[in-house]
Amino acid sequence: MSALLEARGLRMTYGNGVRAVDDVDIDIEPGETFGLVGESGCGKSTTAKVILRLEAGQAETMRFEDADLMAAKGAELRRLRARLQVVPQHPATSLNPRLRVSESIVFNLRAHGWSRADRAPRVAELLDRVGLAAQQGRAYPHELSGGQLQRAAIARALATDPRLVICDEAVSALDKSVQAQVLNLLVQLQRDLGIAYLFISHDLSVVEHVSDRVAVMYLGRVVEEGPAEELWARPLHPYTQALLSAEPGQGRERIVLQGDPPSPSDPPSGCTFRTRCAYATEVCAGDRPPLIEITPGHRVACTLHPHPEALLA
Amino acid sequence: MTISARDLEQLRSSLPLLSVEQLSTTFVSGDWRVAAVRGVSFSIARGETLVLLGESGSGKSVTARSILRLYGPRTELKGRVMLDGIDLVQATQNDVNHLRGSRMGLVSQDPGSALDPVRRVGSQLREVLRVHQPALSRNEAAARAIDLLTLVGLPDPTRAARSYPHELSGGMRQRVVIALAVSCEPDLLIADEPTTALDVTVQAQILELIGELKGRLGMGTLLVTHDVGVARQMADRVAVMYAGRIVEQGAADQVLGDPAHPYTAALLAALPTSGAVRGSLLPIPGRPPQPGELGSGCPFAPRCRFADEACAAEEPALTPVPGRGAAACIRPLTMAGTMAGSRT
Repeated sequence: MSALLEARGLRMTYGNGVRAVDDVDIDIEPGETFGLVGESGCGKSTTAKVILRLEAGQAETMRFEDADLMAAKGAELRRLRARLQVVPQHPATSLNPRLRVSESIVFNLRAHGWSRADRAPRVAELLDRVGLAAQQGRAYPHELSGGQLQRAAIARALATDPRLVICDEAVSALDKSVQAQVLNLLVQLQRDLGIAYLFISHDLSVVEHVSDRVAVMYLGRVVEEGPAEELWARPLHPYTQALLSAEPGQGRERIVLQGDPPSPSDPPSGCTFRTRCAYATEVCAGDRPPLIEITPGHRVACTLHPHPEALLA
Repeated sequence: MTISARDLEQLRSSLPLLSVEQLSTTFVSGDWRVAAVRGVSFSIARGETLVLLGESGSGKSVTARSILRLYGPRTELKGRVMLDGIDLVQATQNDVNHLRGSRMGLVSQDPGSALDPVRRVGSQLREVLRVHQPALSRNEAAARAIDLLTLVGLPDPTRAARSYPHELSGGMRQRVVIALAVSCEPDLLIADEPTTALDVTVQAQILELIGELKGRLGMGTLLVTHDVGVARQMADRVAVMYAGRIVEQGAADQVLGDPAHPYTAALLAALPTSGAVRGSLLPIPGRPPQPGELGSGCPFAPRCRFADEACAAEEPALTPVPGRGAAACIRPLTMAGTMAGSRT
């Protein structure tokens, strides 16, 4: 089975020289949830925008459903975007305040060429699927609560039958009691429809809960990736260890990092985490450590974890 | 019999630092009234941390801000807020101005808007110091400002003092706000979602700093948060708010480990935890009531899995639960073990 999304060497450099995304590889299999975690400014949302072709980034290759997503334009890009949708963080600002919820969903259907006759039954089906009443479909965004708005945004994203939905902090603005409703809904939709998620969040416990595999980003790069369970049980990169331990109120022994992340416009040489890393040596300032597979699917970019074969040599 | 100064000091230290009794805050606009806080009572001892835990709209921030009297004349405050024998609800504006900063420090959520963007950090610190300690000379205030920036762990305090807020990162700005809050060694620190705008590794730094300063300065701390993890890490005692009221109050271990109120239990069950099976979180149905939607009964009853007709009759008061803290529920949950069976 080939990957649903296969992205190699994603880069996004802004005009001011900030390398927001610096050589990131992301593979997503059909029907899985791929979590992307990291702190603000690490490039996780920019990565999503490059994949969505909303930012003019570069990639060595970026294939989606066996089509070249990087080169696509015009009708072909529109066709692919129907299959690749997004649920943003703030539904209150992403839904047009002057359109009824159902009209926002119709907007997406019309953009992707659904016939007038097919739209109304499709909207009814979508509202039902996300647990909104027909009456709530007729409401304007300001008449709905945060949780209902996020259901509406999910319905809009599902309208064109996507295979991959990018959830960019999709539940972060919700209260915990409502967040659980929306998380359950996302999981249920995945089971029913077989969609894959790229789930971006700064909330570690949420990402652990929903993800099959997780990548940890720091200053534009993936420093570690692996199966969610394995990553939480055995984090290898010193940054991942500090990040997981920093979450308040859990059992891990806390590793408090010193200082702030360096500026992405002037990143340190070699390993970008070395300036805050307790284990850093001169070696870390040299070449940038590549992602090395330690156990199947678990890769880490750290000189502390050399390639297993290098240890044998 | 004469009372010695030592006896007075002992008497003073045996009383709570802050005691809030039946505090109500109502926003008034013409005929329109919104009761955001409805009869809240708690106390904080010296050196103790009380966490006010609640979701958005529960009234937790309004409670904190009412204590500081940060609302204008169109807001009705009722009840008593005693800080070391002074009633802050009745105190004159002048007295309140004097107590803020010197006896009570505030750390708010957004360090960006808590600082004046067009003045250097050092100058903002010196101003607070000289307002509350007029005897301090210019040079003494400058030296003390540097000491404070050192105390809150800024790596280069001299340079930080010369910086404008925008030149500092979010974590560094929050350290400056904390330096301002503790500059006059207040008895009470009020921290309103102090780490919500920060990244998790920076949050860990700031929480550690607040804990350390609390120990060093012996402050009582009122920490407002929506984050159960933050509460678990920081609290001695927890008060859970819902719809403008405290629905449960008690020792942190008990409230967050073995809750007596169904809302607390439901909130904890809704959290994604390591063991939870994906897609099987236990959400709370519906959403919290808006201030206008309150009926006569328990405000949580419409969302409560244990509610029946009796719950709609009248709003339960916060009542002690044997062996535990207090809960506002006519049928508080018994120990976790027995309830766990019936909740599946």
